[in-house]
Amino acid sequence: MTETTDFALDSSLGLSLVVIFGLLWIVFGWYLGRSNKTHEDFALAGRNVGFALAAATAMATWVTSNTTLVAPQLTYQFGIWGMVGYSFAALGLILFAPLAARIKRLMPHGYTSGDFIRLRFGRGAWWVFMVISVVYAFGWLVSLGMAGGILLEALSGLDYHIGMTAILIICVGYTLFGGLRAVIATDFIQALIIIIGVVAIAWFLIDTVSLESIHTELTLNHPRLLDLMFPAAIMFLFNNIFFGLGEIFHSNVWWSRALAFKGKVAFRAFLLGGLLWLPIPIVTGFIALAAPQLGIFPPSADMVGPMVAAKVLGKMGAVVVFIVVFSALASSLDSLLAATSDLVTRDFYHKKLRPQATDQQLFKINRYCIAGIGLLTWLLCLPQVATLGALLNFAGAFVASTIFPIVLGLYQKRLAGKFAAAAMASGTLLGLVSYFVIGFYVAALTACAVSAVVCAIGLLRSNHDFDWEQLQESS
Amino acid sequence: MPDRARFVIHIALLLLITLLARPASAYVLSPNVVQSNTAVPQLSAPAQSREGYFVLRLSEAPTQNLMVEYSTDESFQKVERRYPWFGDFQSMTLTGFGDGNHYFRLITGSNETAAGSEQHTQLSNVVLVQVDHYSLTHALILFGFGGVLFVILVVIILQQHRRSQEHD
Repeated sequence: MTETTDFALDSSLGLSLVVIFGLLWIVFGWYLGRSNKTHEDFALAGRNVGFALAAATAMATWVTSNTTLVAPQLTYQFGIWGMVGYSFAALGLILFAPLAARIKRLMPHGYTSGDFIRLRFGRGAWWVFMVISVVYAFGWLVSLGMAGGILLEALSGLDYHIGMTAILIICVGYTLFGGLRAVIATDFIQALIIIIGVVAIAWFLIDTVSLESIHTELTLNHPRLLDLMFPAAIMFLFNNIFFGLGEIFHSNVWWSRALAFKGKVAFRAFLLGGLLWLPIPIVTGFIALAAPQLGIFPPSADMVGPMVAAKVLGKMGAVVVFIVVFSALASSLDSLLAATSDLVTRDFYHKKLRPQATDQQLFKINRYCIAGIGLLTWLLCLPQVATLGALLNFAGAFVASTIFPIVLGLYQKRLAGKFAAAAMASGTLLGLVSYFVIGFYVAALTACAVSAVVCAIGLLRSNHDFDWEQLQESS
Repeated sequence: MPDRARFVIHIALLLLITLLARPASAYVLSPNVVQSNTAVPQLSAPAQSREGYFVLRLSEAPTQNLMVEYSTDESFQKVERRYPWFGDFQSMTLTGFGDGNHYFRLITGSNETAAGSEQHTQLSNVVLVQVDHYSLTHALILFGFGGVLFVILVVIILQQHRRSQEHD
């Protein structure tokens, strides 16, 4: 068996890569941000994003710490089902395609998912939705910041706090300069880097270690990882699907994209983005199955992906891994920063605090929000309280409760606001109860099921007849 | 851009660049150095795992090369597998274990040292992890429940999308 005590990258090289990439992205963000003249330019890229950029940003934003670090983690823990089950999260993007077309048609001048909930369901449901959105946004932001720290630590042994601080500074920097235009443009480049890098890593892995030797090692020493009747993995499957659906259906990250895409691009863009995303967790997850064969038993399960890739590909490989994972993290972190600051600016500042705010004031507040959210994320990342998987699964109880209220709210006039609010609140509460009492693998499933039942009762008992024209709010 | 925001960005960039000057905290253990006079850290582990994976932890960061020995027998008559400890981290995640009792202990030195010259190795305490997977029936019920809910959702979305397209 091979000794694995050396880190793949020299710590100075790791830091140099961070600084070089950071400066490149920030300069690029500044360059793109020069044409932002209004708040709508900054927040929604002028609502003029074409098909290629739209599909790339849908795919790249969904390739995140989840895909590059958590997919290998779940494969390492759950085996074959971990990577196959994880790839089903593509269903979130694919099923959002029809919803995105509907959103664009119902709210051509809309800004955020919060706008929709407020106009469609009223204030009560809006408050519940905002709590869910904020908890989820910070859960995801913290997991992304943590992933930056974990990545550098796994590859170069550098202190977790350095990587975490660096990725937050970089993403806040270029989002602050360029807004959604910079986010989408960097996503396009990052999507290309991710696809090429992931394929290269998997190719070298199979070439170096061989499928046969990986299979033999797992069969002899880790048989459960190849077992299709692995109970925990079977329980995890649909929970993960509902978690992914909830993440996409409710989050302003995806709503702001649907609203920013030109004309009827949204449907095709999300469909193609989902199909492009589908094989990526299979490839990144597969990497983890080689870990036992290579004598890699990671300190934390979410470090297994970068460690295996760096081991197989050596120093050059570690640089590739670093660039790929860093791109994946940045592509999500920037999107989330932009979308969350839009939500705060539009839903809290503009609609609640200062309805008379001018466009330039909103522009300024949006930037302050990006910096503030970045700082808060940094503070929450400092203690590194949980593994990435655990942190994300906790958020599953929140987001899965929004699936049915949003789908039915977009299509059914009869679902009233009080039932939507009750569905989200009760789904989240019982999802959390099941998370703590039973386990993480039922949190999203329970939240979605409870919410679906409350919505069904709402449809049966309500005589509400919503007028779709009420969604046409002037900005 | 507001002056204050620009100031914050400049400070942040400065901080980013100064990170380069920070001494590396990477700790690389030399494979040739085995400090046999250093005490072996205490090993700990969860008593039970329902998923077949678990984390072994050390009481302190290792200062020498360590291996984890695994046996299904408390007296370690037959060592099933040895796992090399990674760097100076204080934890190791193991995975893919079936139902049953699994025993672990630490030994100092490399694989060869452990097998060849017993006098150079030190042993830690032994920890037991009992793996007891969830019932398959329980898992399949949840799977079926999730599947039904998912089908309902997909049917609603596709049906409503088709209707709205026709309406348009």
